[in-house]
Amino acid sequence: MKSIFGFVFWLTLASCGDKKTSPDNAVEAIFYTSQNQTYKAKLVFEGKIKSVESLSADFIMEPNNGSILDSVSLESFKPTMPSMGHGTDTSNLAFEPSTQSKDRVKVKGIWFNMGGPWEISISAKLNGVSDQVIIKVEVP
Amino acid sequence: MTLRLLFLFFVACSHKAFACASCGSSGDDPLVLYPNDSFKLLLQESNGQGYSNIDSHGDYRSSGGTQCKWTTTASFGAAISRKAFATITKSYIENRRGNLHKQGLGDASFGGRYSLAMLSIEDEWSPQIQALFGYKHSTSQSTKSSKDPYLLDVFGNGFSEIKTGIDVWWGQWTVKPGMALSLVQPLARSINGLRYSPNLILRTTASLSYLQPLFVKWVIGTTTENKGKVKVEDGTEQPNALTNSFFLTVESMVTETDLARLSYSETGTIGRNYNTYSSRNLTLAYIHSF
Repeated sequence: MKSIFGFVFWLTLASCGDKKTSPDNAVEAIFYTSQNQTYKAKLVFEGKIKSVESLSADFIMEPNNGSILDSVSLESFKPTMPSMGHGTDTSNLAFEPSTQSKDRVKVKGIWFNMGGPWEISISAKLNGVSDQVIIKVEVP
Repeated sequence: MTLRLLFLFFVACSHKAFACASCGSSGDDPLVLYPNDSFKLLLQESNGQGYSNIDSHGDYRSSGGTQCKWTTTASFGAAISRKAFATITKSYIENRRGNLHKQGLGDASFGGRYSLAMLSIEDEWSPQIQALFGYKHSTSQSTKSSKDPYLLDVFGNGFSEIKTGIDVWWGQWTVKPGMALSLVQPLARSINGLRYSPNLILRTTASLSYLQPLFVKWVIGTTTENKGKVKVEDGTEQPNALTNSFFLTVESMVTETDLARLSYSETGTIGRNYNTYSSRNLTLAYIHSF
């Protein structure tokens, strides 16, 4: 039952993650649903998105429709390239919670090993509840 | 490096050249035995450059991986009968990116052909028809299990494969057309805890060959590979891929038992291509018959 729920949940996330993105745009966004509350998940890269370069980005959650946000933390961050059927090196990934704002986490050591369409599967804890989101990134 | 391969080829061909027998299309296999061969050995050096990714729209993207690939291949073939032969092939690969490089063994492959119909001097329209069989055993690191940030430790595609097909070749005309059709089934396997189930790969090779009066043989051809989807246990799937390539090969007999072959090929540069990669390759092969 749990796996069926999980599958349906992933399908829901995938269906709402088709927002068109520009290769030069450092900001990626997707709607994120958890516990009947809606958030917008953003990944804001420092500078342009590039392949074979260690990148840093802010993972930001924006409450939608009056949703409440008390805390955000990252549990996992997994970039994959479905069209080529592989992932990338994640050994240098580091998560740093922001001391300034409770809605974001700094992700360091993001590495795309080639150009093309990537999907980042992110497991985050919002207000103490774990959930997952997929953010699509176009790497030039 | 390219010049080195060209130089080696012309040194190899400085001896008087002789005509070769039927060669089939041989777009798939580096080593093909002729009806009179008992044993054959191939040593081949290949240089690949200009790697670039091609996305699902057919747009060329930057490649973060290998920039230059050297592949040394050894293949041994033995005749089972006048109509059948078997080959075993193994390669050693070096992937380079700037000053970084990694070496490793490629997957071993076993192949075989059985002649269903031989060329007949009585009917120039009757082709040589060969049934193809093959098995590739996956032992090499693939992109799915790579631990190198630049994918320099990738020496295979990660799947063992079973191949069957047919090769048709009209060898009695001045310009000899040939065509090979292969069906390749990669075998499902688990990598890093996830089971991958690939669909069928359809590979078609068409070629035209011409034997010059100076006993140099030219072959030009194209290969189309249509790779099916790969279903992943987590419900996702790797989409299908289309790759079109062309090759130009020149062969010359060095002695009655030795053959030199130089081949230039481009992968993913002609026609429509998607979810694949492009590259340019120069290959020098030396083949000895026992």
